[in-house]
Amino acid sequence: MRNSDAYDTKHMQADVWDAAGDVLPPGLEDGSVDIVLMIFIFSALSPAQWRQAVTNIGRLLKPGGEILFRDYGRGDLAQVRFKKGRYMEENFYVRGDGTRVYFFERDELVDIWTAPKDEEGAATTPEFEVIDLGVDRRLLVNRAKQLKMYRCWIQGRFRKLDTTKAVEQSAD
Amino acid sequence: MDPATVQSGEAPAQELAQSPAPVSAEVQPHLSHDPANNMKRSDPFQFGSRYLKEEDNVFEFNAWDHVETDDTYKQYAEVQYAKQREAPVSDFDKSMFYPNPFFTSPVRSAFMMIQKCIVHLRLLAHERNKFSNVFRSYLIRTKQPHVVILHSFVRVPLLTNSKTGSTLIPLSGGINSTRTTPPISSKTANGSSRSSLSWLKSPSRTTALSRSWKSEPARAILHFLFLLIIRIQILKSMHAISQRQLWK
Repeated sequence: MRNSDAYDTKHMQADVWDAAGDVLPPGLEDGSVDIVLMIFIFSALSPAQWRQAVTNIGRLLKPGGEILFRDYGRGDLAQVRFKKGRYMEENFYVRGDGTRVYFFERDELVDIWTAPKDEEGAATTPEFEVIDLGVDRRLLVNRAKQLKMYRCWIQGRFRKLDTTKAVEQSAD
Repeated sequence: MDPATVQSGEAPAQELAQSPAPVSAEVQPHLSHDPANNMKRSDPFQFGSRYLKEEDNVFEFNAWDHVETDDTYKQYAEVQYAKQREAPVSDFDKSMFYPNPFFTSPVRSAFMMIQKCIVHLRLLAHERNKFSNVFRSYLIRTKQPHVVILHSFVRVPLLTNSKTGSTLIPLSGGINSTRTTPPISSKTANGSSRSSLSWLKSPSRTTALSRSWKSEPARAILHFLFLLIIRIQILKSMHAISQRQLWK
């Protein structure tokens, strides 16, 4: 992006940011973001990193801010056709290029975003609500080879709860 | 309302019961072939409207929406999952990839470094091909083809790496401090310039290694292996170049 002729810091700023890191993206403060796009991002995190990522997004978003989410669903052909030596744990694989991918269940995502837990596994106050979360199942067809390819993605929107309580907590 | 249930349950049953004929008479947008542009679209385009019905030929179109997997696929998936669990990723790979993608163990760093070096070597071979005339005259003049090849081949990738990110090279002493290539002058001085491997035994090289060996033996071993692999890669690419006769 930065190398593009159209890139102008008057209008935009592009940075690489580790969503499961300890710091917020450069130049962004707590509660300053309206919309977070997470398209095939979350699946690259290991289950151990989910909590930190959700916390980070919670810090970034304004109350009422939204997350637009899309990622892999369990049973996607990409998961089914993983070969030997790729399985790390249930639904979590490493690809040939060293990148990782997790395949989600719908309910699992609901839990991740709306039923957070602390390090000991005790339930904490939820920061988000699900506006919409659907499973996108498609059948793609290779007509020449007469192959059926079942794809499965999960797509939806989450909203940061607009409660002063939540704001106070995230500020602490 | 879940579209999948509409597709699999009520809709086909209703249509079949009421009137099978109008189904074929009134072709739905996603099933139509417009002879003018061969488009199969409703206008405006309705996302997720390509329902697959029982009477449809699944291989007639490229894609269908809201299709539940069939039993064959479900069985296939379960068999695949079982196979995957039986043959998980190796512990070494897991230690590299599981913790996080930016995980930098010495092993992973060395691995990435080698990958980068290979890319650089390929690029260099390409560049070299372009400038082969210049280099050829240089080689003829100096009569030290091996030394020159090694010199530029090793130095350039390592220098490039040290500029772009030394964090990738946490190995002891860093790459910069280790002389992987002796200066050409030392070659000419000891007179064994025709041997492409003589520089490996150069005194500065052994001292650097033994120094780190005393303080941090584990790292020194890794470092040594890492350099060894790079050397193999270099020799390989040299071999490839000579095979393609880029230097003639």
